[in-house]
Amino acid sequence: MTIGGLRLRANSPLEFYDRDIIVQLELTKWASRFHLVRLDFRPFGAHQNARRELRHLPRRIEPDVSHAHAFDENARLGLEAFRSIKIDNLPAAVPIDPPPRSVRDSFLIVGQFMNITDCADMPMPPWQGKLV
Amino acid sequence: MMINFTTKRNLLPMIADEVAKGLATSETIGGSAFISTPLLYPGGTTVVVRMDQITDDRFFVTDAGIAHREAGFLGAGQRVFLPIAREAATRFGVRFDQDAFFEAHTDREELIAAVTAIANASRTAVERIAYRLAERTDALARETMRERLVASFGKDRVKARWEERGDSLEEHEFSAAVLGAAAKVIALFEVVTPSPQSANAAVTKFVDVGDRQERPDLVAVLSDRPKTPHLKIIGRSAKLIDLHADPATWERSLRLVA
Repeated sequence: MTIGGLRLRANSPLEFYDRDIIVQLELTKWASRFHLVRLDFRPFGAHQNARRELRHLPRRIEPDVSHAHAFDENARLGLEAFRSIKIDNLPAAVPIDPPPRSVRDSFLIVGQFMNITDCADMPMPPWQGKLV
Repeated sequence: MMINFTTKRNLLPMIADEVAKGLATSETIGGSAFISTPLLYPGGTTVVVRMDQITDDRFFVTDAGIAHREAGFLGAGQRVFLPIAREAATRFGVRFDQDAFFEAHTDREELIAAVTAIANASRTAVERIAYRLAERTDALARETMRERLVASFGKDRVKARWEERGDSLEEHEFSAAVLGAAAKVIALFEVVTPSPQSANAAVTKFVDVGDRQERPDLVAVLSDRPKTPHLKIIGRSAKLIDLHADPATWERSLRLVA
């Protein structure tokens, strides 16, 4: 899905289709790549808001807590927060409230955050067996 | 007060124990255990290691391809990921299958060491990839600048990697040159990144070429102005332009140059 330099990248594990889903909106412009928003749904790992400038946010977001690397929070850190290099990639994150209760819920949230209409109407992933 | 103080001090071993236990958490889903370790990938996500029990006392330990995924989200393709991941696997003594770091048939007594090794390999690989991509962005900065110059002056007048002789008769390579009538150099452009080496090298080039009696316009193209060291010194020897300024500002700056 590429519109004028925008790209939506999504990833989920083969075996656990409703866990650790990551969706990231990226912009490629002037030969540079910027990451605008990243959403982590029910991640296996925690997230740490490590930077000193992020002390107003929860310092740690526990595993399984869906969270958004939201544009506004990262914008406080300047343009570098949106580049993938050296400085951390989208280092600021906030828990998503209320948390999504299904994959469809998650895609509804993707639609809201990234301004994509009918996002939740996307076909949901079928269950993948372990022997894929 | 004294009693309270002593009591609080006596709590330290318990508190330390609590912190040590909280450094990692685990969750079991469908027969697989996921350990969230204290190590962080660039961006702040904790490194996760997955364990599966193969037999009563043998385990399969892996990063479940999460380093590969994170590298992809940073913008790294297979060509960047694979050699760095292989190197990390060798360094930490674990195996790698083109996607995930793993240790098969690990004894129960070896699990802590195996999880530590997998987590470190996974995190080291992603961190090194982030640095590798940063190096590539220096090249990207030069390419971006060239594109902008071509848009303003046309392809034939813009020459990338241009050698120019300074007053000391030493040759200096600039990121790009813009040619005027009779292919004469009218402006020299040098991309300056926040690294001190980049800034120092740029000043040397600008000063040496600037000392010539007949000299072209000299322009420092800043990839990141707030982080650029020696900005005032660079500004004394060359005009300054921000690489990522909007196209209108860039266009205006170039009109002043040539």
